Amino acid sequence: MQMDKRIKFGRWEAIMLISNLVCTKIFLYFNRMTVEDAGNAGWMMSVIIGAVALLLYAVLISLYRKFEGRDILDIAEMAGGKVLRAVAGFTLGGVLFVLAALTMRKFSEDIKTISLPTSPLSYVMAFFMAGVVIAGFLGIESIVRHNAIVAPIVTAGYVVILLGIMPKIDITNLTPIFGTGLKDIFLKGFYRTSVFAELLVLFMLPPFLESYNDVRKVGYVSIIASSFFMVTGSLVYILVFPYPSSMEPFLPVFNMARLIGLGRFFQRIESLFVFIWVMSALIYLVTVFFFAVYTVSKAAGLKYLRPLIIPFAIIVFSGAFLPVDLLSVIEIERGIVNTWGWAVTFGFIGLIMFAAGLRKRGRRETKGK
Amino acid sequence: MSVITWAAIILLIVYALIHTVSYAVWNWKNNNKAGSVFIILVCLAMVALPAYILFFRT
Amino acid sequence: MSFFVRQLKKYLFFEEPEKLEKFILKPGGRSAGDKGAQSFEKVREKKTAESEKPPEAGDEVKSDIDANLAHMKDVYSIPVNSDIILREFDITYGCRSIRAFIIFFDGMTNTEVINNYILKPLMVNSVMPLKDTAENLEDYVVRQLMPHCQVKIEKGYKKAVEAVNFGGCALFVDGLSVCFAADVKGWEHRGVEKPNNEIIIKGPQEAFNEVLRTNCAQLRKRLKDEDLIAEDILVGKVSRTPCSIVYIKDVANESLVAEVRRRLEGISVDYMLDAGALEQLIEDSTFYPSPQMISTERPDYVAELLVSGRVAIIVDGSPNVLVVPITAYDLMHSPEDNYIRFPYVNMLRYIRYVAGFLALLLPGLYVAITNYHHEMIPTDLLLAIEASREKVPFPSLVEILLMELSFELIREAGLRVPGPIGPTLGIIGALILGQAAVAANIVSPVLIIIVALTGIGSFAIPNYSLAYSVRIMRFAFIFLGALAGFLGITVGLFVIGSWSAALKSFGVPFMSPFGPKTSGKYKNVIFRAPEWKMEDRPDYLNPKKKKKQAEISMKWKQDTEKKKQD
Repeated sequence: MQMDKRIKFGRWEAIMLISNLVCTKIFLYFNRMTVEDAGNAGWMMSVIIGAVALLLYAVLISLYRKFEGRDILDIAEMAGGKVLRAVAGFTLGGVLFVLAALTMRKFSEDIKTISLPTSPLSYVMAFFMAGVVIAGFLGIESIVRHNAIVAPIVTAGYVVILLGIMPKIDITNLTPIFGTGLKDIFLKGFYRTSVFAELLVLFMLPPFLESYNDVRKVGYVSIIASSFFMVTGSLVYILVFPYPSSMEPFLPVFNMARLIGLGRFFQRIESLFVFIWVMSALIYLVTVFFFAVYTVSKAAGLKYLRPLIIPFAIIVFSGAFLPVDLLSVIEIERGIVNTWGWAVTFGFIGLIMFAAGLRKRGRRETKGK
Repeated sequence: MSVITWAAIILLIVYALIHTVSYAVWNWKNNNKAGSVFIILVCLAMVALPAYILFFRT
Repeated sequence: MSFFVRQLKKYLFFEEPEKLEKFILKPGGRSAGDKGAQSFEKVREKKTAESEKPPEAGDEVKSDIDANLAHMKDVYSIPVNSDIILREFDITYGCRSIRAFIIFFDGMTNTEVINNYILKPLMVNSVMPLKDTAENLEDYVVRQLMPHCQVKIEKGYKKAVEAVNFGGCALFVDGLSVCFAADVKGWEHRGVEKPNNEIIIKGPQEAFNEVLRTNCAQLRKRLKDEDLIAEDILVGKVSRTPCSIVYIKDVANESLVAEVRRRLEGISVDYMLDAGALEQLIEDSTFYPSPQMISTERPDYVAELLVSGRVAIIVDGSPNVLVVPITAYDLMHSPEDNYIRFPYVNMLRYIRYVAGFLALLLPGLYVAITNYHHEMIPTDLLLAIEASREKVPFPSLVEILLMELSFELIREAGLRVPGPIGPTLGIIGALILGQAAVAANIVSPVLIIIVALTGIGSFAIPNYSLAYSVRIMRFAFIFLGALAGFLGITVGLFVIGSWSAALKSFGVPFMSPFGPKTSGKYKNVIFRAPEWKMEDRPDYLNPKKKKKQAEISMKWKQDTEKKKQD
């Protein structure tokens, strides 16, 4: 596929893009998930998640060094010809579609619960989809730039919530220090690196970035920044809600925002929170959706991706209805996406790069002879 | 669901179908047969999924 | 019918999109269309060649005066056309008397000048003895007989006719295959007055008027720089309206100037009457709500924008000057920002953003809150609002649309009625209508407050066109708020934001310097840095010179400190 070759964007835009993709989870379920996995040592688990992700990424990026300027599909083609290229494209694109559909369903359910309880789910979802389709038509430049504007605003809103909740903190909530045990912290901390599954978008970005160095820095900075927000988020969450009851809230950050009260008049800050929430959801959805369409159409060798936006929007929209209820959405998310996501982002991509690297070296050696 | 909703959904899908199939045809003419087949598969999914959600799931 | 079918086909079936190479403003880059053919030197050569080009065959001025006379009569439909004046007379050259005539438009020209500096010398002074410096008749006329400052020798009829159409006077002399075009413009026009629509308290109080050269001079007297170039381009096949592209040669990006030139040259219309029409013909996106260039009547503001590396377009006959490119944030700046002190500017800017927010979102938020998010309002306030709405028979959407529409009505009607009645209408509309509507329980008092705040907010937006666009979008947000509360409004904001992020104004991303990020975000974008801090020109303009003042612009401060140390 021939995207406009002149489209380039800077490191800052890419960092905002990746960090927002990873951090959107904080608004949805991340804090509660850490508590469910490791009790009140959830924040430690977040630290482990960040550290493991950083380590895996370091391996991945050192494998990537030889392929400057190529994205993962080109690398797959080097490793295993057109077939592997198609396989890689459809796998990664498929993963992104699943993420888009699941997130859309969850956000819509949440918005429905919080602010539009009488509207049907499809109605709420249609609004999200409309935003996604329009922004998708406007193209990658618009998405990336909009990300660079919105992400700092969303971050500011999130920081305000964290600061506002400070008076409610109880330090004794941290004990017992190791929660449900070290085994949970480390083992679950390893496979919950799946929360960084969206990092695979980074390996579709290189053609738009200047150099290998840019890609490397974007990855590191985004992982560190998102880990920072994840750790502070889950730490504050654990400090505010005592252990058993911290597993209950349906929407962790929303429930934190609900507790904020500044005097008698300002009691309902959480409604404003809906704004930054929907904003971050939309920007997440459109990025994931666009890159899913981009990946599969690039894998299929299509020249234009715009005609595919509406068909894929319909597929994602109806795909989001496939799980029967919210509980099964959560089960899929917990049991599949957040348990095996790492295998795609770090395992699959790593294998492709490794194979391509071997092949490249082999070719060079035969040439040398 | 009301008649208007039904009509809107069907119209949208039919429109998307026509447009996408014409894109597949264009790709076929421009020597991207694999891509064209892929688009047809997408079209099938685009019809099958909503149909399943709307008609066949109890 | 076939048009309809074609349109249907276009939207129903996939067609390969046309490849349009979009202009991107890059440092020292070239224009998209011409591939570097329009650098400043090239344009200079082209213009020089154009002015020296001989007339086309059949267009040459004849040496026979009767032929010339017949041709000019033919061109100007004499005697049907009654305001064209053709005056025949004789010139004495040596001992011969030679036939001649002048032709000009009555009312377009200054007859005093024609009488005293063209006719009188030709008819009276030619009797005086001849100095032998002049070798032939042509030299004699132009060097000795016409004491007028702007005389051009034209070889073709077309140029002569063009000059006459633009307030000139053409002189034909028997035996010469050239004519003399003297610039004797003298039509009635407005003087340089105070700005009517962009009123500020501090700073210069002069506005542009409708005369191209006066407007150029207004800029020139402020900038006093020989590198300030005013490049003329005629737009409109029939009207041949002179437009000036004004820029500072060693500051403005060459490819930007070339792009402006390319767009102006690429306009194919018969008549170009105003800058407002030109704006619509050269802007990037027609359907995007907000303007993509600044249209101002203040020369001081244009001068400031030129200094930063932008390009201005002056259209003859229009008191508004267009400046390109801009970003979204420039639309919230007022010329006054340059003239008042740092703390006040920042407070004003802050207030303007609040005003913009109110004008855009307040009615939508009201509808969203009253329909979906009661829990958001503190209980006491909610009780007050609900109590005031108790007797109102309409849903809040109808209520707010009613009042917003009547507000727009008052605004539009107040603009159209003759001067003295305007304020009266405002008073009738705002006070009596609002009061009566509340008393009749048609709308709630809270709503009047909201509509009033919205209206005031929209008037506090410094850019007139932006205020329009905010008013249009406000209605969209009202509907979105009614459809899905905060969700709808946020989706609306997201769509507008995405659209803005996709937009470019003359190759500059509309949301820069925030998306994409460039340097200088905190200098003069949302808030304004102190005057001494503004060393750089905007990065996204890619000007030839990056700095516009020294790193330390207050040298005196350093000097005094040094003295103290000594």
